[in-house]
Amino acid sequence: MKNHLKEMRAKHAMTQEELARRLKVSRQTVIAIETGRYDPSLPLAFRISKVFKLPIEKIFSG
Amino acid sequence: MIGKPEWFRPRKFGWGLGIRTKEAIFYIAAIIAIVFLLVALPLPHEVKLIGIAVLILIILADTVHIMMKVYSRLDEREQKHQLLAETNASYIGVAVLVLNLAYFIITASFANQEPDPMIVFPILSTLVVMALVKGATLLYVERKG
Repeated sequence: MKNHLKEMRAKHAMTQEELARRLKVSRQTVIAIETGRYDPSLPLAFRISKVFKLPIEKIFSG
Repeated sequence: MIGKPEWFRPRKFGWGLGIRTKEAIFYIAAIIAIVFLLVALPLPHEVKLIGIAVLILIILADTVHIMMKVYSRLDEREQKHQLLAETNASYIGVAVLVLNLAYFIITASFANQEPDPMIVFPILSTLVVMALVKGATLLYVERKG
């Protein structure tokens, strides 16, 4: 699954550490999602969409 | 509780807690120092034994508390990694137990002897308990949905 997490984070001038804190995950997990090594669960994907105030499909695509 | 969960992290090799900060080192050093102090003090043997038993109970309770906190703080990705590691360890553990059991039964049969129950029973009971725990867990999670 592809995602635009890195671009979204850059757009919001957010560090990986800050995003990790807001999502209640480790920084390693943010890195793993950004690099496409890990696909988040639906609840985590919803938390990501809430942080960036965007629908899930704008952040993740098959 | 005495120790803080942020001092520790899940252990990579084996089970339990790994050291994360220098406070964890001081914590462990303090426990060792108290044990040495209890042993070295000119106290009656019974008092020393009670002291060490009380200390073990306190440390055990503290460790369980820290472990629960440390493992519950893992995010979904880290939990998946832990589960995969536990599954691999469990599969290999079962394979090693079965191989050991087979070895003892085969060597005993070659020597025209009955397998030693002191060796066979612990291995067999471990396998049975593991199978029961697996079954019970599956029944529980399937019911929970």
